[in-house]
Amino acid sequence: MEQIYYMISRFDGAASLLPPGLQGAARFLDEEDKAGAEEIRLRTGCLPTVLLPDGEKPISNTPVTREDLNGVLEIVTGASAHAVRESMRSGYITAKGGYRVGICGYGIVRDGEVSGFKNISSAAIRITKEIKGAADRIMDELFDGKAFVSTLIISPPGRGKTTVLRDIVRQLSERGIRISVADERGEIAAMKDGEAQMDMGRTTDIMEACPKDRAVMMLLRAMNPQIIAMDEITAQEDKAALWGAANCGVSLLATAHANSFSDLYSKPLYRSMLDEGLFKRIVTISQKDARRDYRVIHVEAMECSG
Amino acid sequence: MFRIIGAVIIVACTAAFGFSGVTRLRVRVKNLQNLITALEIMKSEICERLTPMTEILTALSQETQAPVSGIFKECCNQMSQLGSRSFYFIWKSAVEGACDLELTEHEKKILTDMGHVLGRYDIQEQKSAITYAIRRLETCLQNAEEEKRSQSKVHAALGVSAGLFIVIILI
Repeated sequence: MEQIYYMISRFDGAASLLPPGLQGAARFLDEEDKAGAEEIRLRTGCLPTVLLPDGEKPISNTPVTREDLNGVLEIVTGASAHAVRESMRSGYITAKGGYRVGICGYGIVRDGEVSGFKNISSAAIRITKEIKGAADRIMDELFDGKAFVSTLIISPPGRGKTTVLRDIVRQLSERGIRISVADERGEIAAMKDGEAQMDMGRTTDIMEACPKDRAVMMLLRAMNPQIIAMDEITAQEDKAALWGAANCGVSLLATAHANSFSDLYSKPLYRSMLDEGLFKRIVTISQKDARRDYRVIHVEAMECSG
Repeated sequence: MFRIIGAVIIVACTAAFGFSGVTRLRVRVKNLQNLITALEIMKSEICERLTPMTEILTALSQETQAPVSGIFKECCNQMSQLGSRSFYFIWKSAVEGACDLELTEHEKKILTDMGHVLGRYDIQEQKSAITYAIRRLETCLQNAEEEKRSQSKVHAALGVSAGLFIVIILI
């Protein structure tokens, strides 16, 4: 029940980023939809919707106007679009409370680089949820004696990889382990004005916005971590950086898109990582109705069994 | 004796009225100068330091001279309402409420027009809008200085001579 109230409060927090008219419509949504909402989506000329697990649902009969979208931008940036220029270039802004607001519109390109947007046409407010205790059932299996072993969390998109990663980071940090997070897309800690909007624990250092491979090397040199965590390994550069960290005696924690262990193993990038022993544990997330199940695979055992 | 005292009082009153007109012109020039300086600071904070609007407004409300600082103070006070009111509305109401600035309707419109772009758009667009407002206000300043030069003596002379004229008629 407490979790439901938390999810409703997260939705209400996201609704507070909307201009008054839309805010009223969002607050009238029933509690079940509020708790299940993953995003609030606004597109000029279309009805505003919430993204639920089974698709988008309109929240008002009045189409979204350009002024509504400008209002969202103004609220989220505190009337300071210039101050979030770097983030805007990536197409999103992190709002207070850790909400991530993706924006679409007419890209302003200067010297070959996107410097911002005007005539905003769409916005998606992602309702990031922090579920403390999400990793409770698997934590013990991620240790070999007292040492944390390198772990990769896999699942299809939208199953909560980042949520589990965040909770593992928090729990490791609470145990006094120094952990550094390479948060390239700002989805793990949701930094705002230098402060993590999610509970990342007391011994966690966060490097936001830097490309992962470079962030890992900087963190190794600067922060002396015992564990390095990152979201979504996708490139050879990430792998090289992870090897650099592993060779320095640092344990790794990361996520990757894959439907199952066999799907993961079928992708050359991940297969080479597993064959070379970069990760010792794989956490898979499966979903049945609203319930998520976590399973820990010991990679050594898989190798032994062929 | 009473006649002399009465004559002095009448001349002093009309002269004071004339000089108040001179003071008004001086204040107007000074306010326009301070306003232009404040907008220059705002432009450099937005374009070079990427300072958030709330911080800019707070700094300007403390660093600029009254009554210009009043506009920024009023905006600061209303920033908590952002969401239920647009920044343009907050800025506009602060400008329109600043009666002691001695600004003309045209000058107020220059400032409120600039509010359409403040905090909303790309740096270059904000820079262009503020620069344009500064340029237009500088023209207003030149006119105000010209008016001060040409009208100051007229106001003072008219004040004193009106007093003398009344005294002569009464005597």
